[in-house]
Amino acid sequence: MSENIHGTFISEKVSKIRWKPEDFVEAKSFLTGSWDNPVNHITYWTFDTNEEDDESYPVIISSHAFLGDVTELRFISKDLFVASSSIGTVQLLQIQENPYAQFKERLSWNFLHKFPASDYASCTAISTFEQDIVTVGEDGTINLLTANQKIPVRTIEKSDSCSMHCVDFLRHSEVLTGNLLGHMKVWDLRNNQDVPSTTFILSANTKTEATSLAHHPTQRHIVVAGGGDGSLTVWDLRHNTYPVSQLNAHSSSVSEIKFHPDRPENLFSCSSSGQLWHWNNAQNTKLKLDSGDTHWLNTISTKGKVNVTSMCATLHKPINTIDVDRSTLLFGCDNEAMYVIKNIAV
Amino acid sequence: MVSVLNTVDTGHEDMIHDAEMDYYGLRLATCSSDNSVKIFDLKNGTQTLAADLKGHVGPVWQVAWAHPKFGNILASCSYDRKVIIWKELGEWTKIYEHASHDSSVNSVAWAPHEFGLILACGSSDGSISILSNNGDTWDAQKIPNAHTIGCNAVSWCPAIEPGYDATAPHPRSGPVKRLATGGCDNLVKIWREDNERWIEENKLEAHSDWVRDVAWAPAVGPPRAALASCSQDRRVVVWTSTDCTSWTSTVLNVFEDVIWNVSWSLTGGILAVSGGDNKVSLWRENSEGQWACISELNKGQGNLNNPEQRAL
Amino acid sequence: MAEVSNAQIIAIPDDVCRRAGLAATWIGQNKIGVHAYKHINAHSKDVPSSLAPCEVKVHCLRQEVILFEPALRKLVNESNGVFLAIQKIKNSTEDLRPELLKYSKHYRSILRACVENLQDVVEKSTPDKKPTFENYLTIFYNVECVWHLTEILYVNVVPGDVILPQLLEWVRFHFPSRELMASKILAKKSLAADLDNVQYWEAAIGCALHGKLDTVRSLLAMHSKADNPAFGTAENAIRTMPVYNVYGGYSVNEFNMRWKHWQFDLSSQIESKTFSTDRNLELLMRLIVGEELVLWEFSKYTEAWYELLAARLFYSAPCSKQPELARHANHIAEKWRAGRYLDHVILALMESDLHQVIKEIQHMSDNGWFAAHLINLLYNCGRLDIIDKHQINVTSQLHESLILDYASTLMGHHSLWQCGASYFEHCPAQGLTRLQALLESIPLGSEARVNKIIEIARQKHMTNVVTSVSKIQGMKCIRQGRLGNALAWALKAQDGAFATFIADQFLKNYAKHGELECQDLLENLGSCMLISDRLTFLGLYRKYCEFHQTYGLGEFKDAAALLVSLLVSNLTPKYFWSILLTDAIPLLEAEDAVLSSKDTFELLQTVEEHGNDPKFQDKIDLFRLAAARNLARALNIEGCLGDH
Repeated sequence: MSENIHGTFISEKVSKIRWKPEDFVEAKSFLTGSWDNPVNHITYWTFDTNEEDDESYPVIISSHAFLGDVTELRFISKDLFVASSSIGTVQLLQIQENPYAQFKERLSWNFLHKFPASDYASCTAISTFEQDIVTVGEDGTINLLTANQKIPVRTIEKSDSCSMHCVDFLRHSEVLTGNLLGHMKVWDLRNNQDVPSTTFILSANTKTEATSLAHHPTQRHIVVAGGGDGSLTVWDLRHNTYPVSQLNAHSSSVSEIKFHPDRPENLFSCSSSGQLWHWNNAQNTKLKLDSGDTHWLNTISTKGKVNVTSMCATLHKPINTIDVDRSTLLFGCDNEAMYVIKNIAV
Repeated sequence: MVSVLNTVDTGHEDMIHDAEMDYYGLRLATCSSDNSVKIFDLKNGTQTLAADLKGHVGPVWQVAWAHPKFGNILASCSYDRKVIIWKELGEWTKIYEHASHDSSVNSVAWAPHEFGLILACGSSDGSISILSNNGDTWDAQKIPNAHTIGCNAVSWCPAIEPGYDATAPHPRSGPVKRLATGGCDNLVKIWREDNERWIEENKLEAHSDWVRDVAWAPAVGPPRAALASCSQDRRVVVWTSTDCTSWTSTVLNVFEDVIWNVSWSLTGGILAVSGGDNKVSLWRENSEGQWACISELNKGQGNLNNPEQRAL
Repeated sequence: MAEVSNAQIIAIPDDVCRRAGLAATWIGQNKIGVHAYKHINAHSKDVPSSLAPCEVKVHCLRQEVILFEPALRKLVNESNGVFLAIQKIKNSTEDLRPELLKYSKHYRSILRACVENLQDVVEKSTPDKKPTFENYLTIFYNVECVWHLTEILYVNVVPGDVILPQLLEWVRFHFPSRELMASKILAKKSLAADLDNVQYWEAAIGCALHGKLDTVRSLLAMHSKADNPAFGTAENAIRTMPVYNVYGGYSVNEFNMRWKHWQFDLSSQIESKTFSTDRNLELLMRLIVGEELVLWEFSKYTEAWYELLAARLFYSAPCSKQPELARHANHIAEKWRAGRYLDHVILALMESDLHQVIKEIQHMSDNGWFAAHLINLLYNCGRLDIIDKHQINVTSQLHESLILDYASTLMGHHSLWQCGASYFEHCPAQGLTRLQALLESIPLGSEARVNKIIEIARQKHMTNVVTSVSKIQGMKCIRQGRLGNALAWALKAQDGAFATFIADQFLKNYAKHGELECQDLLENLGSCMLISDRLTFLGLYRKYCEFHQTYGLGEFKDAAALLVSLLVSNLTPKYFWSILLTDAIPLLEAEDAVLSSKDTFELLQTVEEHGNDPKFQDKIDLFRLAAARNLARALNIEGCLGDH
């Protein structure tokens, strides 16, 4: 691995890693969530400067036990975040610094996702829009929550016959979900009927699940989905639901996709084959004189316009999660380690 | 070091004759002289009684879990001459009862899942029956007079790739079904299915008293089959073969008391031996081909006899 | 039976077992279930046993694995990365030694971090846990020490094969206390260091034993009598002591001549009582000149025999090559009466008896981490040649069995199974079949976990594991009443037979309740439905229902066409004929004729073949009548069309 990558072994497989957002300054602390232990943890980290080499390394501020696997972590404000679990529970937690660092439970939606036979179902993904939270699970149910009330705003039971694996707010009143067979569904939340407004397919010729979703930070209608077969598919949902581009990217299941929040010409993706890629089209942006409405992602399949670089040597275990703030990227892996890459070129 | 992970209080009123974990080690089935079969869910060190199955009218000798791809299925056999197949359909339900034996049924074993849902049963009437599932019905085949005076144990040969198997009729015909049985005639016998008929392939002689248990080692690695048998003659014998036709025997040990059970670990490396001497000993073959005891569990006695540290 | 004496015995208090006897069965990979057992059989009387009523218990036993301790999981994961990196380079044709040395050092840095981390943990742990962690610390400290020596003797390519410099380095690294003592004394910059520090001579001699002559000289310069000519002479003798260096420009013979000459000078100075002003100084010089007796006198300043061994080589046989090491080592160890466990391992290493080393380190209580990783490194170095007592080379079998044992141990852990799984493919004989057995027996859990298990199976081309795991997952979905998700798993695994089974469930449920489940899924199956005829039938029938529900005339016609094609398709399951034929009646009776004469003939033919279903008996006359009427209608219309 190159010099600017630093790994920390934490004795737990990392399922999620998220920067704690800061206003106008560089983020300096973050959360990790773990999976596959009888009791998992959400851990709160910051950076500490080592006097010997003047480098900063992650150190734990505090660690909190969590039942089930951590399946998602999302901040809805500077110190409030939502955590979901494989036992179907969703919690709204607040980071408190005083008198000592701890998480305070603001709300807990217990066993929000469950199977009829009293079995719990994994809450596989959540997405947030301001104070609103949407959750999906293996039970095929969609829940719409809001951060200040215990009772779900809306529940669409059996919205999908299959388990759902990803969800994203397209706009405040519209969410996109993806299921085990790659069926993508757009749900208009203003519509009281429990049926999707549109259904389309991730990939017609394979039976692969949609594993993750990301929308462009400024142009929300541009959506990228990762597939269980390692593919990336891009849609411009203003026009139609036929993908504007689709490419075989990773050699196995895409675990997570992230746009750089400030520089959306940069996209990051990681996979269960241990790959971490950086898709960059900065040059293209500079040259973009007449591109009009066509977004660069529309053309990612045509070679030469976008640089794809591997950010580190392929790891021998799945990389599960990435997050990026300014020039620092974090990622977490099944080798029970998390990594920091500094000074990424964006 | 070995430690007691947890202890399940079965609540049976009398001795249990068999305790088997399901495929994942998450559920325990026990059967007892009190005529019942019980199923426990073991999760995070706690036990919950999931079912108390009443259907037999005599002591239940053995239980066997089917592969989970057929759903949750359990077979039990009893002194009452019956074999019952139970399935979890919301609740545990009796789905089949086999009552064609003339005496106690001592042993049941499911075939490797590659062959489908097939059960072998060994009885004191000396015969072995093979039950095959065909959707909603069960077909029964019988090997009469397999062991004179009675059959005590049945064990299936793992589904060995036919490439390894010299006796496979056609190299591409798929693995051969084979059974090992042990009986009151002091013999271990190996049976092979040939054109839907079961034929006696081998008769293994090494014991001088009733054979109590036979266990076929899981097939891992090079084409070598291994079988362990134990007997009232206090011997444990390991049988090995490279072609499933000629067998070599190695006497693992002559114990102080009758040995009732032999059990192979999942990957076949370690044999657990237990019996009347109140001890469980673990045996493995070292790289020099010798069988050595690597650990001994001694129950019912107060102290640690030999605390020397040694990995299991 | 040879090793029975080594066996560990564990006792479990259970009175019923004591009275009855017991039985044991393996549970999965790493557990054993034990319960009281007394054999009775068909010939015994069917009465309650003599023990009834009794408390019947089943005990689950598990091997304790210290590697599962969070503090040690770092070691497990990080070393897994190094192991895999080594397997990647091993196929290249270049000389691997320099690369392997790099990896050996990497392993050691991981061990160092582990030891330091354990020291931290020991300090922070509660009194009841402390001994456990101290025990771990000892284990891994020993591992580190042995690894380091192995690296020196077997991995490192030593120039000229003279091993002394590395040996000294090893001893200094593992026994730093007297050098620390010396640096503390030196830091005080006292002019009479011997008077200010009681440990002055211990430090000086300790450093001399480690060959740290510069430090010895600095210490001597701080002695209260440093101005005495004796000290001056000593300083000069030490300074001019020839130290062998492969790159020093001298051959071993030339060096030996110079060294013997220097030794002769020094010993005559000692004999002429040059150093008799200070007894300690004199002893020091006698050590330096190589007097065996003095060496043993100073063994009080050492912690292990191999410290003394290094000193002896330094002052008596500085050019020793590796093969001579065994003789020296044996001599010292025997005289020292070295009998600790670690001593045996180190002696075996120095005697180049790697088979013995590997046998010994299997008893390290580290659950096989050390044996597996070290043997792999040596194996790749080509330094391993193990012959069993029948003179058969068993190197690769031993190598594989140690790695398999370690990997199987990890497979028994709820989280480290992924780490364990990555070792198997490097065991050519048994690896993949073992992995397959273990992978299939991992409890499934959430779909995310199932996908990770399947991913590994796919990577290793274990199609049967993929199918079997997907099917188990599918069966679980069926039990939970989630037919749609079960079908998704069948499709993901491309399991046509299972898809047929599930499609049957859909159709039977429809036959029972008149409603087709999971429309959202069935409607988007696309070409996936072709995996099984039954599923194709289900997909087409769903389409028919959809046409039928949307009542426009156009769709009605389409529905009719589809139904006819289903009837003639040969896809229809037996139990579904009556439904299909019943569906046809309203189409035959439709206001506008939607079925042609040809279609109607087909229908009549089908009803002849399949109309004997008891469920259809009450409708068969109605069907025939409707068909006859429609036939007339259709022929009439078709006739008209023909006219034009």
